[in-house]
Amino acid sequence: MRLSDETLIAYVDGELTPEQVQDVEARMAADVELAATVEALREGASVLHAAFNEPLRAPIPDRLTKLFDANPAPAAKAPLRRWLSGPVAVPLAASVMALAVGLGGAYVFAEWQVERKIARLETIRDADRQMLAATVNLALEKHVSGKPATWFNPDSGSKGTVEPVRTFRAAGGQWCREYIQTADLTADPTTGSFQTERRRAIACRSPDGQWQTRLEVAETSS
Amino acid sequence: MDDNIRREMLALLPRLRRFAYGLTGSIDEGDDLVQTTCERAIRHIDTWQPGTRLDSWMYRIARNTFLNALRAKQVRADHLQSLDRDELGRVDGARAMEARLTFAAVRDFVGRLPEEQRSIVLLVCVDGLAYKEVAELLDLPIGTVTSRLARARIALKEFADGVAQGGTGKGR
Repeated sequence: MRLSDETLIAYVDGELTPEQVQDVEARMAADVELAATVEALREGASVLHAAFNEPLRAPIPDRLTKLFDANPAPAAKAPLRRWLSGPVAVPLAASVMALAVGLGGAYVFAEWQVERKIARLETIRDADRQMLAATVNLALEKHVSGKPATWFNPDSGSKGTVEPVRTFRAAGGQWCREYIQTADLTADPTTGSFQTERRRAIACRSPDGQWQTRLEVAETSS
Repeated sequence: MDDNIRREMLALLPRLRRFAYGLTGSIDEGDDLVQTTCERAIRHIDTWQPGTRLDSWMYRIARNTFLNALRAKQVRADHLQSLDRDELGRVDGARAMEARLTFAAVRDFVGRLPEEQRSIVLLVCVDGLAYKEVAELLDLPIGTVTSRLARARIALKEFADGVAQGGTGKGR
């Protein structure tokens, strides 16, 4: 019998029982097309997982943290929904650009492009780091030892795996895991050069489900 | 309000902001939604049952607030529709230039999903909740959660296939 889409997706999401997992993996080993479908579903999940992470990186706006002050000042009302933000913002940005080019000429424009490229590189590195950290946490929290979790950043082309290899209990009773992390990090997206690294690390779990890395050793780097 | 609850709510803000960003499609609108959600949660904290999950409770408030705003928007937005459609057309044109699945394209895709699929995708794939937790949070049978989730994920896969093929413009 053919496996349903629901089953394949539940497999990607780590929602199947060990017996079901074995069944899916046996079929994948025998069926290249099925394996490719699973790979595509996994890639979609990995991009989805990180697509909305921007608010996690940015500081929380004051208007939100203020709501939780012990002696709250009367909060400003949430502004009217910005229904028009898209259509208005684009023409505005275009006119600012026209003004900048008109005034400053080519030099300003070139400068602006270099700055933009640097900013973009930093954003990409930041996104790679975020995805890596999220994958470490996911792998340590949900994967059994020997099962790698993968990540892929479509904006940079960077990708990597995180594989738990050993689970143990620290002296304080805390759960800890050793894992191997490999990554192909894009060094420069315009030339497509990569930097490959492999690290072995140990992380321990805090009660809120976050894994803190305690020790990290680079095994190879090129 | 209890200090512990206040701390717990503060700690939830990043995840709540991400969820609201996914629902509304914009960080600013998402923060408006988070603000309203927190105000409601603080005002009605006595209706939360200690011992149950605070995060699920706040996600529920956020989603209900969003649904109400969506309904109100649909009533008001008739005259804006032509404008919206132009805007979408432009995004499509830009996307055809790129032969890969970018974060922006995926956000755009999530924004076009029917809300009943969007919430589930956000809770499972973005927030990482288990199917069972999502079913409880949305008060749906687990079978409904898995089938809606499957519909959205298969659509995403087809969308990604389309991006990959449309972008190369060769071999077809």
